[in-house]
Amino acid sequence: MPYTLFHSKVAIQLLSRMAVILLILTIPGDAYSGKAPEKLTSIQSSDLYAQHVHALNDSASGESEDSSKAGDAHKGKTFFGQKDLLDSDRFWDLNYTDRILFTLGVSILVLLLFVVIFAFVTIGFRIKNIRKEKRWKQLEATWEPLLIRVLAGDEALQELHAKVRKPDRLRFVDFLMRYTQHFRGEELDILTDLARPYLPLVERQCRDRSSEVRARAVNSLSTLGFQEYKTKIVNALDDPSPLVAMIAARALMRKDEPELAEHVLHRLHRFIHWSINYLSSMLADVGAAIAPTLRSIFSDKEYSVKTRAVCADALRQIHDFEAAAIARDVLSKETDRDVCAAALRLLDAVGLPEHLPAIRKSTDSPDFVIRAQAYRALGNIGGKAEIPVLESAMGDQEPWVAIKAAYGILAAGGERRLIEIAQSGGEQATLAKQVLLESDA
Amino acid sequence: MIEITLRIFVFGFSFLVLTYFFALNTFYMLTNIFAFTSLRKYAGRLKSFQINELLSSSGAPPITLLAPAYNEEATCVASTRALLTLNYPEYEVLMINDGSKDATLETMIQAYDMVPAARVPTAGIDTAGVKEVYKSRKNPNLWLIDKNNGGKADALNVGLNYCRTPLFCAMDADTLLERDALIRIVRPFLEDSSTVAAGGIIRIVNDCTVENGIVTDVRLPKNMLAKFQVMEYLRAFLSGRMGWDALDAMLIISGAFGMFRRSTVVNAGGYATPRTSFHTVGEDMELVVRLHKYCHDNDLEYQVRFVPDPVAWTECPESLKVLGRQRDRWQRGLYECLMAHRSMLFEPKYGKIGMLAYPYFFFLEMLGPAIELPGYFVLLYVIITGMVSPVFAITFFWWPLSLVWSSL
Repeated sequence: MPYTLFHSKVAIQLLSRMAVILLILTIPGDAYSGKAPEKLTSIQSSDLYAQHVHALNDSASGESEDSSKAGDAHKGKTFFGQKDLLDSDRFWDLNYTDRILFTLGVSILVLLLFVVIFAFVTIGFRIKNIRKEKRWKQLEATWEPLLIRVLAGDEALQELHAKVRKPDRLRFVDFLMRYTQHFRGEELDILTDLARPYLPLVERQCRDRSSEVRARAVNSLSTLGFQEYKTKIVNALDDPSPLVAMIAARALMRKDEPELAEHVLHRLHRFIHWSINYLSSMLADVGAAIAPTLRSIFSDKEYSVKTRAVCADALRQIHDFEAAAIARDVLSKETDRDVCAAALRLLDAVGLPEHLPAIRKSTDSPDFVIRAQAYRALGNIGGKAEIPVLESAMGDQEPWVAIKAAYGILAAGGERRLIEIAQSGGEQATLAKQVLLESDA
Repeated sequence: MIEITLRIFVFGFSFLVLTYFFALNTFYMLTNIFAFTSLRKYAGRLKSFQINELLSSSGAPPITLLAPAYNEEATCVASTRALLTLNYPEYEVLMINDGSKDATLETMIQAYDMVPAARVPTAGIDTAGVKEVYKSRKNPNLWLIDKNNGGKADALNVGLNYCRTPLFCAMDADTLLERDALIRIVRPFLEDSSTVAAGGIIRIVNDCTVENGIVTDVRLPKNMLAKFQVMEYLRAFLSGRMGWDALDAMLIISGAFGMFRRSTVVNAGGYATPRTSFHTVGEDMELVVRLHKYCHDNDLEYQVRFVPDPVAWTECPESLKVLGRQRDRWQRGLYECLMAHRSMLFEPKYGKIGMLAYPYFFFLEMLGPAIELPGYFVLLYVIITGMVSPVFAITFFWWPLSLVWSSL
């Protein structure tokens, strides 16, 4: 029987049938089987149900004949099997078509439910964020003019405190934190005083389950209450979250207190995934006071190579001349790329002619990174006597070695020789020109 | 007999389509859930880790921006100007003129007072010939490399050969980077020194207001196709890539904006070109897949990350013809890349990449069109032949509407 393409009546009937199947199957089994017939009766007796069953019987009578001829693949006497539906009390007792309809109906309902939930969650979050932002702006508008007057000394701290309601105390600390980036000295002290009454609340956040909240709390405490919460910040170095530990480490390294930096140095292994440059800069910021500890870690093979490389780079940045002897020893005994390259960079900065033998030995290293650093250091420390060696190194197959050697010639006072190479038009002419150009020679 | 065969085919195909969409939507849901939690955590991290501190840090690694340009005469000056105003302590801009037929080279030379300069390569990836290297006298950190035409991947390889910094950022010449984009995208490299690549979010700039290379007013495009793409990009990046990142299985970094560790990329052989390995129009994805393979094969500890806040803006196609060409290129790139590295498929050695991300891209993204397109024809066929009630089909597609009707 041909189908009518836009037969909306049948479409409605299909949907209502789907709804009926869903309703029937969601009614408890005993109710469905007659023990509590009220719901079923109400469905059966509804006009909609009666109407669609009737209509379906009419519209599908042709198929029902075919299906009964085809055997008892399903027990229904009609295409849509309304008889089976009324007789069966379980999903698997439904005929094939009803089962599909039921599955389709359930899937659509589940998806619809998901869509509605997601939509509500999204809208809810959006509304919440808009409200938060609005409230935040209102609070800022109230606090900001007062804060400026307090910072200028025109208003007492209490005036501003009076404007901070109980639920907004943590927000107020966040508000102050934004200003700490722009103020130093006396103004920063005022900000610290303003935050003081609320810091115990922040301290409580250090025990929060979320590592992000703990990190933020440690950050706030280290900026606005470092002296009072020093122990807390040191303890945060052992926080299970690497983020919290790093925030604490940075806070401790920013202070000019070498004994605090020692805490970080002894836990340097915790930050070993961080970039070497970043860690060494952080350590170097403390200054020469931590050099003895850095030296002892650098020379100690018990520490990981990366930890030692970080210390060597920090020693280079603080120009620690006493570390040069350790670097020489490291070069004579070890072959690891990170440690040796860091030792050579250190010697490049603070080395003396007496360290040249160790550096020369490194120019024979099979590792091009070590070789490149060695030639750079050789030029810097060795002087003009090393120019022939460096010139031959400009032909090294590894571009980085050649480049460092060329810079080595310049550092050794071989500018004239570089000009000659540049003018020669030979293989190394471009490299020589590059070095001369970049050194403005 | 034919009818039975056709019915069996239709049934089998329907089952395939059903499985395909079930799997696809399961992945979408999973990445959505992972992305949601990751974004919340990331927002929390930002509150304790100020990017301004990184800017002032001497530990921020120097970066080279590689911007290949082909026939970019009209936009190259403005794009370069935008690149020169980024917030980052130390970076170089290397524009690579890939044998442009227009006046890209002359325009750049004139606009930035560029003169021939000596610069030796630091790597030896095989590329088309380099004609000349120029340096700007106005901006000491701006370089221009003029080379013979060889395609985007070849141009990037030239840039890689001349890169002297530990990190490089690959981008399109017409991409607009937000001023803090570099400092934000470099974070994964600072936080984990094993990071070899990181991607940022790409957004659509059509109909936004741009002043001096900076997007000052974000607006929805007027064009309907572009509007759809805005939604598509947001979903792809904030849900898709963020979710894959949370699963630690990032397989794609957009060619419009991605940061890489130079040494690892050079060791892995650079971008794929006919000179280095094979030709592909999806050189960006191919590189990331190869980095995964290279690091796994060599037992290297590594990370490939996605960062949701460094924004790069790009123009999207507004006509079906251009969009079609773009999507054709993407699909071909995906196919070439996945077929070239098919040994990674379901290979436990490659961990989540081989067992999760690769199968997803292989079966659901790459084979998607092969299932979806015939699907429309099969649907038409089954409706016409009465194998499926058209009313049933219409009801399925229009069920919300029908529901309203039935309730009337």
